[in-house]
Amino acid sequence: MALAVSLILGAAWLAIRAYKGKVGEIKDGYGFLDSNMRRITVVVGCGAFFVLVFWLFGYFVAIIAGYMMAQLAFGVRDKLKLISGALIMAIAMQWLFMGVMRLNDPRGVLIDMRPYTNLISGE
Amino acid sequence: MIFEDILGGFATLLSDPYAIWFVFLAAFVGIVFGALPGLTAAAAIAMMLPILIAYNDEIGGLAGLAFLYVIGKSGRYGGSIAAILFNTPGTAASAATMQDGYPMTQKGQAGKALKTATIASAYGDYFGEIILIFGAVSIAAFTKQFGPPENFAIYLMAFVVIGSVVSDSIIKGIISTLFGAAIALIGEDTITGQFKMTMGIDELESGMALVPLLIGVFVISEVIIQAEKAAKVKMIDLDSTKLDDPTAHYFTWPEFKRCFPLMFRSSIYGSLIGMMPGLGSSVACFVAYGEEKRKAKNKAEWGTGVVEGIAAPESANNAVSGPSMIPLLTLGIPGSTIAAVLIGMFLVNGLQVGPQIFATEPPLFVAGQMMSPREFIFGIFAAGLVGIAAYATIGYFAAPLIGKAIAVLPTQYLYPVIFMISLAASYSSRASIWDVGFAILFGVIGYGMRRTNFSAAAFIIAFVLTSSMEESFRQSMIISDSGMLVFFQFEYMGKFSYAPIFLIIGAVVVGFRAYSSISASKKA
Repeated sequence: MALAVSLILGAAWLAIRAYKGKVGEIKDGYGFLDSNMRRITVVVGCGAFFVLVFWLFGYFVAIIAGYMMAQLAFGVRDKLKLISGALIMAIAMQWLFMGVMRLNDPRGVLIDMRPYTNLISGE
Repeated sequence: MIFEDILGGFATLLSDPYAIWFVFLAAFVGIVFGALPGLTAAAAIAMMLPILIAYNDEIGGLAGLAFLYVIGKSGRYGGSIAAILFNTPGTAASAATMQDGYPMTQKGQAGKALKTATIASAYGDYFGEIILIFGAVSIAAFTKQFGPPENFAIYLMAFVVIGSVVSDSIIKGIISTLFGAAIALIGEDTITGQFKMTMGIDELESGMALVPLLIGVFVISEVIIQAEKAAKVKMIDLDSTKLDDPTAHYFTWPEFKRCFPLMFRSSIYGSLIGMMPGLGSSVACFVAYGEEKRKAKNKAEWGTGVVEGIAAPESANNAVSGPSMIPLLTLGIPGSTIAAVLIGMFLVNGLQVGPQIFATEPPLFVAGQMMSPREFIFGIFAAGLVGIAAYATIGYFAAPLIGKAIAVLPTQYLYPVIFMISLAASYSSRASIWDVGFAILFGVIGYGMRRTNFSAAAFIIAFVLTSSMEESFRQSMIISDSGMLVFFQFEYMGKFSYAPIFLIIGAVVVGFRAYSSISASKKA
């Protein structure tokens, strides 16, 4: 508890100093002034989208959707590459993690894709 | 005795075909990941750890541990490829190599530079490995008498030493360490059964897993950084003609003779730095480069592309690899991120890291055969020795090809694949969708740490160490009849205690570091 409180107080102290402009000498590449918030949000959004789709539709669909989003985030615009890449990726991941490694493949809340994806994972 | 153990280690390794294959695989994978700017051996390990753990029983414990151990070595070497060819250090450990490596590439001597780096890296790595084998066994004979108060004092010393030396700023280093410790404390108390800092979330009751943290801090943070630079289609523009001058492809015998004493001295610097927890290859390479440049007769030529400027940092940064295992194997303290991950793999195989790892009893059942912990650990040392030869051979003949392949790799396809593998690997650590969320969260935190110079290595090491530290603290309190004073007394339960000595060493290191930091800032 003491550790958590000290961390929060320390962070608050740093935040107040930053707010007052007491940030010291800023070196190139240090801090968030030249961060591309849009890109960061897109990557984090891809991850969040993956989690959401995983919960709703299961692992296989999440890989397809997440990988397509990630490709879009990195500037891939060719539709054929987007779709074929995502399908190949999803099949490979389904086979490796669910088929070979025998991980738990939970059903999606909305749709249970397992009768179809089990054809890849071999269950 | 040790020579017999080494021969026994080779016998153990050679009798396990999976282990041999995994050593060669690790040598190759480590070089590739090390050579990819931004990605490190730690990132490769983070993504592959769940697979290795899942397959531990099938492939045998030796193969998995040998893989992780060798990937750390080859990853350090791989960083030099990017430093020499692209003027971008593949890892922080090869930052000093750029200073003479890239000018040699510009002069059309990339082949010579790469071969110098390969030979110097292998030399330094063998030097460090010998120090590890002989040093760890000797030190472990002394440290195995330690009890819980000494263990707690050692952990505390490691915390403050790592926190104070791992980063440019002592405060940031200590905060990184405390943050790792705070995250490790989440979950169920092993003695009282109470839940700590779970915030009512059921999934946190079993604590945080290492894999999502590693993936977040080392891989997803890098994906975010690469996404910021995503406008580039190619990773790097390499003029491939600079690799094709056949007369420049040899590291000649006179050059080797000239570099030999320098590589020897640099390997000593690297080994000494490697033994200290927290200080790593990135420190060693600059110390060796700086010292050898200062001593050099041709110091004016350093920085313009001389082989000595590659041999010194490369010997030093690879000499760190072996000795960085000494604190782990003798005290249970990981000196680096990779050593921290190795603790988990040792535990999966029923081995508690620390001096007892050199015990000859009780036997373990590993890879289909019975062996003692000592035979097992010497099998890993043998894997290290073979791994060095493997990455040196691959690097000597194929480094220019690997460099060319990486130069044309489009980031727009590479990083989405890495991102997806990261998310899948996070899920696979405990088959929990929450772990994917935690990996993304720690990806953002890791990005923030990188942008503000907080230490990801200190964070991970502290996370791994905290549960053992807590356990030894509890055990100390149980055996102590004077409460916390047990850590400051030179005797408990009728035997001599080294605990106060470790606390004093920790305080002295922090004091010295603080003094030098304040002095440096006053001069500036």
